[in-house]
Amino acid sequence: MSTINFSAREINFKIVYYGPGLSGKTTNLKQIYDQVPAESKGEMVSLATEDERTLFFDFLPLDLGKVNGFKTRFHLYTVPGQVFYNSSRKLILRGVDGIVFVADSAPNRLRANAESLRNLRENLQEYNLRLAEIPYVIQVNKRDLPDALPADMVRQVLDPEVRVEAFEAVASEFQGVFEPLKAVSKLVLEKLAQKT
Amino acid sequence: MLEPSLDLYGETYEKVDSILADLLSKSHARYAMIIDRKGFVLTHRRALWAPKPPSLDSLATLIASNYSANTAIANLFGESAFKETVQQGSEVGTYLEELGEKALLVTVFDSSAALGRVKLFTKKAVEEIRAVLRDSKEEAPKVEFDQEWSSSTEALLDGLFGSGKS
Repeated sequence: MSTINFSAREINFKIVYYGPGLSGKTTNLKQIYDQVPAESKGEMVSLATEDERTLFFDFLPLDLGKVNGFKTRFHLYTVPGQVFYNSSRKLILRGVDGIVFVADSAPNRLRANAESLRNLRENLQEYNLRLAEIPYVIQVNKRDLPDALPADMVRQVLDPEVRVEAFEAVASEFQGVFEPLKAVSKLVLEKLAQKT
Repeated sequence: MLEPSLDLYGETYEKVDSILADLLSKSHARYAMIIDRKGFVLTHRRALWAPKPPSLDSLATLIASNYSANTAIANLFGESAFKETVQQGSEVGTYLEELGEKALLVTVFDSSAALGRVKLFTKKAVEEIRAVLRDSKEEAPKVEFDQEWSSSTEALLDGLFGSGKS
């Protein structure tokens, strides 16, 4: 749920990158951090293990700019993808405004994608939220893998009725990184405009 | 949905700000911040003598997440929450108190401030802020998110992320 801060004249949104372990959620945030101009970003915080796997979350604040005297800000988070960190994933979803689901194109991760999406639905339920009610897009990542599954096949598992936008990406090469973020940001802003 | 986590504006904001200033002066702490439980900064105060704080966004996010994790640990033991959240390093420490269901008051202090004093005046500030919020009769200002606002934000998105297909 977006937060308005009248004293600082800010509107804040929380966007969460979700998906199975090693699908590239942290890579997305690192690329965004590298590509966004300094005046539009804050510090990136990563709570990771020694082998650079996300332990709790990564965090990156972005400033979109000022409209009608209000600064519009997006706080980007990743969740830890590994199955046993579910408690952490649940905590990060608190107050979520938009979701980028980062799917892995590797054939042996097809099931992990589906399980992660099911896990997302379950965790949202803890906050009485339904995925269908939240601005949400899919990023089909790692399109450069030699044995990458067809993007449509990955999508078919996650969104058989083609209800949400999907983007192909090679996040490590900064391909298809801004597009899903821009799309979900637009959906989040549209939702706010509809509700007020 | 758009929600102010706390109704902080106008006279209410002025009063809360003055309570935070009083807290810093009496406790000898460096900074006092009100953050919401999602990790957004709602308002903050810095003592005149205190060094520049680290990134407030990072601080608020880490404190709110740490609080959530501590509450989850308490729940594992059948507790609704731990009563106190104190972090103490050799030079700097933080003390945290709940402020209603949606926000937290965080006091950051250094070795020149006694923990007991920080706790005492932080608890007192929480009571005072609760009373101000309870007695506030101000209504939230209306913010219009019209077509013009939508077009402007879309232009900003194009500016930041490029104007390609989204």
